[in-house]
Amino acid sequence: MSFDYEPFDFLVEAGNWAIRLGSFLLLVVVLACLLSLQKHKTAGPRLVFSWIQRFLRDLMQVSFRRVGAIAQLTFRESVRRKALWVFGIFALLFMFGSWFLDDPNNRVDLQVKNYISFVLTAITWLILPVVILLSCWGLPEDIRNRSLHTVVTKPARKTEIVIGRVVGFGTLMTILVLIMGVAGFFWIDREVAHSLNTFSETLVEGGVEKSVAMVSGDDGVTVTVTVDEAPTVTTAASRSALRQESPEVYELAERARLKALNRFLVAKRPVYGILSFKGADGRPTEKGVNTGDVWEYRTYIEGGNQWRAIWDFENVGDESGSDSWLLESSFEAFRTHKGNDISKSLLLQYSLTRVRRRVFQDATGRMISAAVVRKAGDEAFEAHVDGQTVSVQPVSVSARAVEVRDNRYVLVSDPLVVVDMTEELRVPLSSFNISEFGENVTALKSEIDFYDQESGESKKLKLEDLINDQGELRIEVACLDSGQYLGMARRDLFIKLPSNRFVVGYSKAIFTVWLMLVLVVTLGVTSSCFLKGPIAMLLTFNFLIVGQGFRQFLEKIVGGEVDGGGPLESIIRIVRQINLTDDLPDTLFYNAVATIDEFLNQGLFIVQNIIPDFRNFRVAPYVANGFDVPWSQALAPSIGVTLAYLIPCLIVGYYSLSLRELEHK
Amino acid sequence: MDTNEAVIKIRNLSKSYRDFWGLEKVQALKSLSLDVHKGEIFGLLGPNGSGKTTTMKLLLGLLFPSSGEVTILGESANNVEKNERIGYLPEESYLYKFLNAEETLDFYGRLFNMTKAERHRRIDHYIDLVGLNHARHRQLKEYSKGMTRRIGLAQALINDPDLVLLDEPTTGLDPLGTRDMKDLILKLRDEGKTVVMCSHLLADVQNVCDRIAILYEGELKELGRVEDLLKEQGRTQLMTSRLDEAAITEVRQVLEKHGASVETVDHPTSTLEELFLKTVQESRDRPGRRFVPEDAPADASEEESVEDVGPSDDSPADAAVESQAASNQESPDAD
Ligand SMILES: Nc1ncnc2c1ncn2[C@@H]1O[C@H](COP(=O)(O)OP(=O)(O)OP(=O)(O)O)[C@@H](O)[C@H]1O
Ligand SMILES: [Mg+2]
Repeated sequence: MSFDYEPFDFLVEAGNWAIRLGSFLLLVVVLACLLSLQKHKTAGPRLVFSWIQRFLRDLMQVSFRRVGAIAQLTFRESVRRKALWVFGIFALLFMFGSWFLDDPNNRVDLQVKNYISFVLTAITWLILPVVILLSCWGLPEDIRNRSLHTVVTKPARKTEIVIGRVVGFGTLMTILVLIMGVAGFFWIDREVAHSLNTFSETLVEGGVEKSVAMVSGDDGVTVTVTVDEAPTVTTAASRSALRQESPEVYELAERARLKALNRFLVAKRPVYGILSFKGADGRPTEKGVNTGDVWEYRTYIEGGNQWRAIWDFENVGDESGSDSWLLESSFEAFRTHKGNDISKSLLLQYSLTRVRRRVFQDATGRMISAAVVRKAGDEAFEAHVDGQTVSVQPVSVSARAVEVRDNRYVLVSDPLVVVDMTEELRVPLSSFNISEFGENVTALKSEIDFYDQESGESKKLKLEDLINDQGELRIEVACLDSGQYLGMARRDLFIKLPSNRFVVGYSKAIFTVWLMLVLVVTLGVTSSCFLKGPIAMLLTFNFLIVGQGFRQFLEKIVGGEVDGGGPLESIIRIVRQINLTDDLPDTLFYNAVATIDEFLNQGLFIVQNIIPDFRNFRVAPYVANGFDVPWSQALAPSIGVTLAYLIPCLIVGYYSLSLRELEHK
Repeated sequence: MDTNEAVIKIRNLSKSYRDFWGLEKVQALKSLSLDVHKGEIFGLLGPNGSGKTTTMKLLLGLLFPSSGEVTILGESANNVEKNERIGYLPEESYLYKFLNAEETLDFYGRLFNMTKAERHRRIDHYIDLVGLNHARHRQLKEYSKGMTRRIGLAQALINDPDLVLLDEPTTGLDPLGTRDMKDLILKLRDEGKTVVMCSHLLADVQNVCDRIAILYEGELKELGRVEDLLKEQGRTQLMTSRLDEAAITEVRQVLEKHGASVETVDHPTSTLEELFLKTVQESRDRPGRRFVPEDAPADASEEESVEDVGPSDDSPADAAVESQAASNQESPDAD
């Protein structure tokens, strides 16, 4: 689970994907040509190209009617194979699930977490085996009892068979996910409402503020309704008794319960920023003051001078019209003068600023450091480079592309290029006392009233005017008490955008589960195109397992981060008992080992790039902890991963069905 | 009937089944060459395991040839578009057991380019044609062997194909069904379609087929028009109404006067069966002899056993080989 904004640009990712796939396909084509040359002499490459041509033609000629027919057949087959029995297990689980999930301490928030995790896990792990089983057995069975013979001797393309199979199993899976998802949602809702026996909530109804508190237990129910500080207490033996005896109080209590429920079942949307500092001299620095902590999680700003902690929030532009942003912070104070002052609070002030980050480019596109750029007119700039004066153009850059180095803002990609950072607008908010052990919550309205120090007047400004053209907002934090230090870490301040309803986050999680299952179905069908049922299942399952965690390990091996060299070298080290840190002797033998390892690593690299990263689909923690599923960190990558595998799988499936005889052996 | 247009061209077709390691298990077909002409009913005969089904599968692109070439409807065997015009009834009806008759035909119909109305019309028509009206809503897994065969035939015809390949169409059918099947095949020919079938029921083949090929252990042993093949050049068969012993003795005497001898006096047999048994017997006795149509390119170099056109006895089979090998005219069956 991560809320760190990571830009996910579909175009860039698609480009990377196309390059990878393209080069991989090129490699395959070259290999195929070489092999065919050996087998068919000069006619070989022509054969290879005719196969490519055939694939493209079969792809172009894909007909929805035929895909639909095969998909429907697949669906019918699955249903008649009693795949829907899985609903039975699902129902059983949920009838008795709540017995095992109750939190012993009756903490509603933990309870909610349990329920949500349970539902999402159950849906995933009930459907997964069904889907793997069906998709891996379908085609091999078809080949085994030769029913595929009657299909491929009709004008059905192999592309249509693969797509039709995926669509058919996909449809069945979608229905399972939809039904279980909806049932799961209502189950959570009911269970949480059920476990919410004790609460207090304020309702505003007809302009009257009523605070409703309910305590219920084995010895009965007590509802206290307070209007204008005058409490009315109603008691009953049970909730149903309450309903009978005083229906109005019961209804009121139920409405209050619903409101309380929405506090637990939410989809909060925090936005975290990038943290940097300004020092006592007002110049940017990477870190704050170290107060002597060994563990440097937080660094400190000093109060009463120019020290500032600066957060740059990205990607908040679309949300600025909303009226209920919250700024939440929890800072750590470090006091230099203790004693009497310990009770004294710490004054803190936020300032919202709009900054413009620019670098300059000459006519050839070269980045020019802002340090050598002069204004040469209203909108014209020139720079003195290599003894020449050239005219340059300003280019906006995003907060992410900029870092602090040597008290200057420079480009991350080229630290020699200084970035021109201009503060265009600054709105100081009113200062407040921090609460040291809790959270400070400041509401940000879409219209901000502030005191303009220059003109000495109160002014109004729209929040959206503070967001720059890159969709970024900068918030500076100052400590107003001199001699005190405030500790900051990146996670200590975040913007809380208005929460979404729980159903939104939950639906996104279900959607991600669906995406994962689409990928599994695709992998299953593809592997069943060239493997028999059980082996195809094994392969798909391996993809799933390896894709979860083993991938990280592969990344390390391929990246050379693991001591002891490549696969062969490490075996030799183990056999000959050579220490991991010793260098191997520079002999022909060991050089050969290194070369072979290089090849093996290339192989691993390919494996690593073939196995889909299933970690992207792990979004249940967001929803279970009351957060929305963020787009760029979770949703977009999962969509990307699933899409990325569709075409390669189609290609593999097509050729597996085309290049071999569909004869059971 | 335009008999010269070849719907199927098979040239030097060989097929070896290989195991997982690429080692040869069986050589199921050895350098087969033949043509099937438009509008004819062509019969593939041969004992079990002689390569009939293998030939059909090669024609349909279900198997890939080890060497040689196949052209079907002017296309290569692995071109899917040709399938628009082909109907195939597999050896056993490999259908989806969980569908009922209607769903089966609907599924296969949707794989072809036809309107929904047309599809429904054909479904009704063919279910009726194969006589499964009473069982159209029952799942195929409940069907008897003959019923499965019938629905298999219906799915092969659903696209109104120009070329129909029937692998043992009559197995499992009751006598009435067999009769219907024969009528249907003849009707298909009358509609101008080409039918290729294999069958072990030689009487049926004799009645129905225009031309036949006999395979033995993957080799072509006989090919030609049924009448021509059955015409035994060196013999004369007289068929009369029933004669009494005295009359037969008289006939014998007349024949002896003309220098001929009576070999048998018998009721006429199903002569295709005779031919078949004889061919098989001869092939067993003299392995390596093979029938080669005159327009097939010589590929003598790569085969270990080539056609043996040795000293001929009077067997019709050899006569055919000789006439083919000697002359470069059109084959006798080409007119
Ligand atoms: N899938 C296969 N794998 C290995 N060998 C096979 C396979 N299919 C057929 N054969 C072999 O190929 C040869 C020809 O088989 P084929 O099925 O073509 O015979 P057939 O003429 O159709 O026989 P039948 O009259 O029994 O149907 C046989 O020797 C058979 O064992
Ligand atoms: Mg057969």
